[in-house]
Amino acid sequence: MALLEIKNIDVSYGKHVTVSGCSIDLEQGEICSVVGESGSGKTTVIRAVLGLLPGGGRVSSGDIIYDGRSLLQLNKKEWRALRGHDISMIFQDSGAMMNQTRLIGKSFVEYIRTHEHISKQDAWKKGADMLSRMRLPDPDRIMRSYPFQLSGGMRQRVGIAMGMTYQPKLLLADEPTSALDVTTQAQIVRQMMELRDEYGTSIIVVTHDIGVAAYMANKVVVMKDGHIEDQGERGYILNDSTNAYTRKLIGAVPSLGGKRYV
Amino acid sequence: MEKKSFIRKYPVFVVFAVLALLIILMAIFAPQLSGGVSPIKGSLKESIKPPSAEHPFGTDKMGRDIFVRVLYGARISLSSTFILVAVIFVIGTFLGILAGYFGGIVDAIIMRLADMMIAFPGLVLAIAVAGILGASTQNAIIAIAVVSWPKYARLARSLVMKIRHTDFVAAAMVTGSKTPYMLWKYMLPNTITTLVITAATDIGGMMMELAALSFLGFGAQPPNPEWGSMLNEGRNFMQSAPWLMIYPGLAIFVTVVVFNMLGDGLRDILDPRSNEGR
Amino acid sequence: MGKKQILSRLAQMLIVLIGISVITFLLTYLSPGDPVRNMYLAQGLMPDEEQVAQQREEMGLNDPFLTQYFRWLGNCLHGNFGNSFALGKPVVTLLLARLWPTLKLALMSMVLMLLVSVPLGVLSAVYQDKPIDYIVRAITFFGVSIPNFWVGLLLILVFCVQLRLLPVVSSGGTFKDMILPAVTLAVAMSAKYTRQVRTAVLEELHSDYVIGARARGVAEWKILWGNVFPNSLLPLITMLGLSVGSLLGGTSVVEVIFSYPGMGNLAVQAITSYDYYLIQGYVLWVAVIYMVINLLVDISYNYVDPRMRLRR
Repeated sequence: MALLEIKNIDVSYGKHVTVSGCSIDLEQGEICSVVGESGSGKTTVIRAVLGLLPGGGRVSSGDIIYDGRSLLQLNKKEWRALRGHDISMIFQDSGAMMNQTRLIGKSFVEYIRTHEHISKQDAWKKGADMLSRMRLPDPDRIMRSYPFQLSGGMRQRVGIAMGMTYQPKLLLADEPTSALDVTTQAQIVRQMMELRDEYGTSIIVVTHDIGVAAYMANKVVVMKDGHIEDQGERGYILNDSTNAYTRKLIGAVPSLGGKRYV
Repeated sequence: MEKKSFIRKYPVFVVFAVLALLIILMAIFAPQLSGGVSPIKGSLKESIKPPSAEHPFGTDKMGRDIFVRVLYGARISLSSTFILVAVIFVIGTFLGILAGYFGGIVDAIIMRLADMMIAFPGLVLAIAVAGILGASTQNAIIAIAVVSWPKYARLARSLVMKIRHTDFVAAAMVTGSKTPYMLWKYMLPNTITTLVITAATDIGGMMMELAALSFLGFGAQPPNPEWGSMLNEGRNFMQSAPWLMIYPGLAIFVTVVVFNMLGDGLRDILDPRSNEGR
Repeated sequence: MGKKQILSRLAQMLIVLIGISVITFLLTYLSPGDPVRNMYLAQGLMPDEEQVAQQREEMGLNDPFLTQYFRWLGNCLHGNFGNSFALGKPVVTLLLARLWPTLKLALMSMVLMLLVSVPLGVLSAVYQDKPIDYIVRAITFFGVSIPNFWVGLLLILVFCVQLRLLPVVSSGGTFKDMILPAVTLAVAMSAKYTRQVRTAVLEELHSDYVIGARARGVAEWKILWGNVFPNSLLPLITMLGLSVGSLLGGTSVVEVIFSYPGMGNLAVQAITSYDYYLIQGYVLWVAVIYMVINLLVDISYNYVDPRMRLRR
């Protein structure tokens, strides 16, 4: 059985449908890339999986099944238990997704204590341990820093470390490398792939960078104007697909880390 | 734009524009509406009468009809408020554009002056200015203008600075456009919308400040009917004749509500973005 | 804010202070009446020409402008603001006696204002575009449109004249005397501040970290009270400092209505009796108080916000 099944969903804002008829299946340990230009609805889809559609958006038809149960039926408490525990999300700039006026350690503690009844001291230690397990240098210093004091790459690695605290079965990554320079990009991409290899984490990575998508994924979904234009195994999309839009995207491939992955 | 679609699109603005117009018309036609009753001369026989069919808002100590006085009061309140807003709008915008356009020493002088004015709590300085110049409507306007122009100057300056270094301005300057032409043709049009919105939303507040000065005795002088000074006269009769302070106050309140709504409505039309989060 | 910024801020403040003193001095220098004549009038005397001329010479009123200004400034810096014409006492003594009642009143109305506007503003922001938001917005709209002197009069009418619960004249400056003046001042300010609280909280609610925290499963109340609210306090502190200005202006009106023994009431009396030195002193004091409060606010703001403190 698939870990996640997005079944023919529409996402609407009021009467306006922004994403329509979108279906994606994801197996345990699989990495799926969703590619498309900005405004194609790719971020909306993974936001919908986590029930975090911005500004009054809602899934107006279809269903999202995670681990055998419909996410659309969850109540607030069930959502909270799921988010950050079974399903984690990392963002384009994970540092910006933390309160800028609080120490990273404090945000980390707040997060851990949301999911576990442990003391603040223990939570702090667990957070620092998590950072060092993700091979971040000097975890104590990071815990005592504010998000804006770290570099973009470091912030992103902290975001991933946080997201991996409870070894979620599913990791949703929203443009995780777009804000980074090429070398750091490669580092983050590799780290995410290691997560899959070590913990069997399934990953959906949303990106406009087809180089990153192709390098990481087993499966690629191409989105355009709110619908799925093309999808299939990596090899099929890269080599065999006859879809004109897919071909156009691949034709415009940028390189990653100085070398072409496609 | 068709008339009907405009009304449907901005119903709030239209309704309050009509109400504002109604208030202005009432002020203009006060002599006709009052049926020739004088707002200044009363008859002592009619002294301190509660509201009745004959005197809908009652009468005061001098036997003057409060309804008539409130009607005439609209003339003083509205005209002085409009003059005040126009004065600070023109002076503030002018100085702000100069500061933003020329920069350097001109900017420094104008803006430091603005800083100093802003460093005084508005009404405190206004009271002092009005008090020292002597109590009159004209001096009350001057007093509030003195402390209110910096807001417009700062706004106009920041708007001008935004476009001062854009390419199209640079191009116009390179092609030899004269300074007054630059100010009139490029700087003013780019600041005017925001400043008009500010002025429109300020009308209500300015009316209240003028009324506050009159209430303290530093604005329009008795026996002239002005809402603030009528309240001041009325407060001595609170026990025996509460209508003396209810109706003039209500007149200020209603007028301010109408003009505030009108200002908000205008802002929504001219600057739809600012609507969010309000 | 680093030491450097504090110093440059202080330097700026000094320039503005000098400006304030010049403006204050000009207020009376340019006033149409002759101060000597007014002084006599304030004491109920009719002076003859010779007396006036002699007095003018003694007071240095015939000296050039700058001489007069610097003499006046020097005296001010030594704490000598002159003597009140009408009351015959040093301005410092008179103002000092009224300072605390006014500050007490301002403080009480500010506390009232915070008690009302913070909960309403937060509620209105959290339930944006829900019925409760519309109700709060309607209330604040009427609140900012109602003149505070009328509110004061209506309160007197209801609570003192009709219900006879409170004294009409608050000349004692006791707690009971302060209730109505403080409420009057708080009404308009609460309305304005509720709007500001709402805007600040809304802005914070739309920050990215709120989505981040939700994605981590953090409970809504924790996001609101642990993150959004403390963060929105930062801009609100600044606005609170600025609202002290309208508060100090408002006290004069309210003090007159309730015959409250504060600085504003004294100043209004001083103006009606052309008591120039007292007016000067009042304007200068209030401006300096306002300025110092805002300087403290700025410094504290910079201390509270780590982004200000730690960024190069």
